[in-house]
Order: sequence, then C-alpha cells, then structure tokens
Amino acid sequence: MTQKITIQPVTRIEGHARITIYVNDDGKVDRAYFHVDQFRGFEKFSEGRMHYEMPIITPRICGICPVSHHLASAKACDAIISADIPRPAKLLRELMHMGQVIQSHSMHFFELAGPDLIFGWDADPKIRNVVGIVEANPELALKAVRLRKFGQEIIAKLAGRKIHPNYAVPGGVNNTLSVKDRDEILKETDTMISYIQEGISLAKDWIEKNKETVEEFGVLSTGYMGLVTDEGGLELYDGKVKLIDKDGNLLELFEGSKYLDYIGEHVEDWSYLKFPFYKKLGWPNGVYRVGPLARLNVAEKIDTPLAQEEFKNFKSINGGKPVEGSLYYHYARLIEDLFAVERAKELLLDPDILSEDIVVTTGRILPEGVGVIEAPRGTLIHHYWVNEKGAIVKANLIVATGHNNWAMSKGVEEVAKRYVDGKNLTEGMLNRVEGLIRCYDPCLSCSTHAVGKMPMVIDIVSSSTGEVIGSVKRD
Amino acid sequence: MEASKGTSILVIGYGNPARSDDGLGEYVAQRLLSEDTSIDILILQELGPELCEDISGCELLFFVDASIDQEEPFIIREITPRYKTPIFSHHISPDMLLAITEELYNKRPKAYLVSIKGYNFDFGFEITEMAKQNSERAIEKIKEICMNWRLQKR
Repeated sequence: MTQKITIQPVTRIEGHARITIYVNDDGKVDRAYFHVDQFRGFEKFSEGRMHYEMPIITPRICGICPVSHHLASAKACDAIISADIPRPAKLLRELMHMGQVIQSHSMHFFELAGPDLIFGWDADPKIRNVVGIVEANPELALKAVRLRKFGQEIIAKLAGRKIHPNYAVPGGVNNTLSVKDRDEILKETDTMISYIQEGISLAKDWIEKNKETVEEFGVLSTGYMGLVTDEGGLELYDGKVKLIDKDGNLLELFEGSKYLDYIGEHVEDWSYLKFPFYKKLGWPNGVYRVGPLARLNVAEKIDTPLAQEEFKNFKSINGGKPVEGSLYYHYARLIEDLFAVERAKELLLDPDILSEDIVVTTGRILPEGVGVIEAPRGTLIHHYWVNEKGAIVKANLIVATGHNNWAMSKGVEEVAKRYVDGKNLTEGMLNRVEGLIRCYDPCLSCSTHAVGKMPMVIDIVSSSTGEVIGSVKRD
Repeated sequence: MEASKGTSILVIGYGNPARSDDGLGEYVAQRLLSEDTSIDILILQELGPELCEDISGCELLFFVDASIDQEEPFIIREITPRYKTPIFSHHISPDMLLAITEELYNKRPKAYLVSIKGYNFDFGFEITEMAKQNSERAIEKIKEICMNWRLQKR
C-alpha cells in the first residue's frame, strides 16, 4: 500500500502550494509533486483595461515584488507607445529596481533561508524561524531589518510609497529625484554593503561546513536563463535574454520581445502553474532555471567591483561550468544583493539621475508590447495585446516562479527520495523538502491574507484507501 | 500610500485591494485619516519585519485586516507580543511583529487587532456594502479607544 504525505501549504514561501509525497510499504518515496493550487486570474482581470493602467494594476499580483511587475508592465507599455525613454528615466527605474532586489534578497537570506542555515534542518521549528534569529542574534536581525528597510526606502523616495508604486509610466517616470533624497540614500550604501558582506561570510562558512549536503541537495541538470548586458555581464533591468545548456554552452541570445519564438509552456493536470521550456529542445528536455543561480550561471562577469570578486569565487565552484546545487541559490542571491547596492550607489552618483528629462510622449499605439525584467526570483515577462484605442484585449504574464516550476517539482522529488523515510517520519525530513522549495524563493499567488485564511497542514494519506493516516497542523 | 508624522497613534491597514473585501484594511485606515489627520497610517499588502521600526515609534497601534471566517461584523481584541512559527515566509503575524519589536527596540505599544468580516474576496477593487457597514462600526470603536487613550494620557 502506498502512503501519501501532503505538506500544505509550504511554510516560509509566498502563496498557496502543496507538496505530496507518495510512500510505499517499505517507507521509501516513490514519487513527489509540488502543486500550485492558487489560480492566477490577473490576465483575464486585465482585459478591457487601458494599457497605461497596467503598471498600477499588475503590482497587485504580489505584495512582495510589486516593483518588478510595475517596471515590467511599464516596459511593455513603452513598447506599445513605441517610446525610447530618456536616459534619466532609465536610471531612475533601475534605481527603484535595485531597491526591490535589495529588500527582497535581504529578507530572503536573513529571515527565510537563514533559520535553516543558522539552526540546522532538524532544529525545533519553534526556534527555526525569524523569531529564533531575533533571539539568538538580535544584532544580525536588526541588520536584516535595516537592509530590507533601506531597499524599501529607495522605492518610497521615488514612488512615494513602499508597495504598489505609481511611478513608472509609459515613456518614462512621473517624478524626479531630489538632491536631498539622493544624498540620504547614498550615505547608507557603504553600511548596507558591510551588512551584506557579513551575510556572505555567513553563507560561505555554512557552505564550507556542509559541503557534502550542498553538493547532493537538489542537484539538477537544467538549462539556465537570464538577462545579460551587451558585454555578457549580469543585468537585472534591461539587456538581452541569454539561454545556456547544462554545460554552459550558449543556446540562444535574443530580444525579450521575441520570447514566444523560444519559450513554450507545458501543462500538467496536477498544478495550476504552467511549466515553461525551451522550444527547440522540447518538453521536458528543454527545462531551464531562472533566478539568482541561473543569472550568475549565464553571466560572464559582474560590473561592480565587490560583487565581481565574489562572482569569481562563485564561478570557481564548478570550474567555470554552471553551478547545479539548489542550495547555491542562497549564495548567488547574496552576491546579487551586493551587486544591487553597489549598482544603486553608481546610479546615485550619475549626474543624470537628478535630471528633469524623465518622460516622452509619442501619440502612437502599436498592437502589442512586451516588457522583460529580472525580478528577484527570475525573468518576468509581461506581454500585452491592445486595440486601436490602447485597451488590453489579451495579456500574457510569465512569472519567475513559473520558469522554475519543473526544478521545484523535480527537486522536491529528489530531496524526498534522499531524506524522507515514511516509516520513521520526522519534522526535519519534511523541512528539508520545504527547504528545497525555499531555495527558489517562489512567489506563487496573488493570494489574500485575510485573518483565518491559512492553516499549515501536513497530511499523511493512504492513496489506496484515502484514509488520513496522520496529520500535523502548524499554527 | 503611507503617512509618517511620528505621532503616537499608528493604524496599519493591510490586505490586497485588488481582491475586493480584502481591501478593508486600506479602506478603514483611509477613513480614519480623513477624520483625524493627527494619526499615522500605513497601508500594506502584508506585514513584514521592517515594520518594527515604525511600530517602535508609536504608543497606540491598530492592525486592521479583513476576515473570512468570523461570524461577528468586526472583532477588536488587544494583542500582546507572541512568538510563533510563521505560516508564510513573507508575512508576519501582528503579535509576532510586536514580539520582534520588543526584542529589537525594547518598545511595546498598546496594540489591537481589528478583524472585519468580508464577503467577497474575488478579483475586483470594489468593497461590498455589507463589508463597508461592518467597517463603519469598527471605525467608531477604534475612535472610541483612541479618545479614551488620549484622555488617560492627560
């Protein structure tokens, strides 16, 4: 008789998800699935709205990375009105994006991944969380809070609010940056860099002490995708899409607007989230990953000095070939965090950042537009089709978490097979499975967060009888 | 949409305004600010740890959120710092936020969780009339608590 273990929803990720693990009579894992239950209705919801409303509407998809949706949407609108936005507007948008990356990456490492790394997979879940970190190391926790707040302050200074910004508009941005605000952000950058460097030391130390685990945990052979600069460097706001194979060989380098020529989407009946893949290799050979690990795998360099030094170390992990272990996402995320603060500093020191030349108008309406950006979790694509008045007739959004869908599902299965013993089930085993998902920091839904909505339940069910053999509820 | 006047009363309204009645937190915070400009409000989709700094600067605090499963039109209950395992990564409960604030900043404002019954959580920016009525009743109670608190402070 096969048993079914369900983890629902996965803790310390955003959205609604379940993990189901099928266990046979010997307690061994047969197979495992990562399901996404939340139906995402924003594409349909958008139809009929004017294109220029989309940068305001789409950030509501997520309270965690609203800026990424805001900017991807604005870029799609730039394409619809056929606008080449002024350089100062590009700098300001990129600065806002760096704020988003800093707050998201910092929070993930220090508060979400950190508990597993600091306390260990098998630690009591009552302390293995952000509160545990606060109690164990309040100084580190305070730095994490300040880092996140620093990123959010960049966003707030530009947009007047920390979430759901109203800043980027088709053709540019709607507000200039004052000297006072620039200087206030600038004076904090060196301190923030030192905080992230502390995190990097912590991550490297953990990797060194847990080398065996890191080298066997969620190691997947996939392609990798991410934006790069014209010179092949790490790029988060603009650039071309680069796709490499599992050995690091170049597969494609293309304009984001051409994504439909290269990316297909596979559907499985057990998940609402689609599975993107590289069309020329087909499904499932064409699966690839996105996000921090993928971006560092596709990049040839990083254009800021401190991040470049760490990047060299990262590249040495697998002799210059792609780094495959899922746990390396945490290290890659911190390197990008460092890059984001360094890049923010560069942008703030650019005289054009204070320019009043921040928007253009064209009077043109093209039938469609695509915006591509590297959200903290990976490549984010907004594609709108509009009528002659500029109203949305169709929208297609491929979110970062979607690109990683296969990797999360396959990774869950691999980790479950390696660590889960159905006859001697422990919380630590299940935490390892959840930990695989947390490597990818998925953001799964536009979910509500109303009081009383979300229990955390782990069900162990007999698949042959449907009987619930065991159940664990986390409050 | 945030105000930060550094005053003693902070109202944090949270939820997703694109999910109909889930926008009740924002609705209530805005309504309160429109009647009493001396308060601070924060409008958020969800609660994150960085709020500790804002919370550490206030003396009276209200968390306002929509509720799916309660019978009462609204419930206001005082909350105290409490550590627990977070259900979601990026979302922290109000009582845990108080606990982190106390630990990091040694500050413990008097705090209330205001949960207001909602009816429709589908996509949309409109709040249902019944939810608005529940909100108005909650607003009156919040105003009463604020008034009594100010009287006690004199």
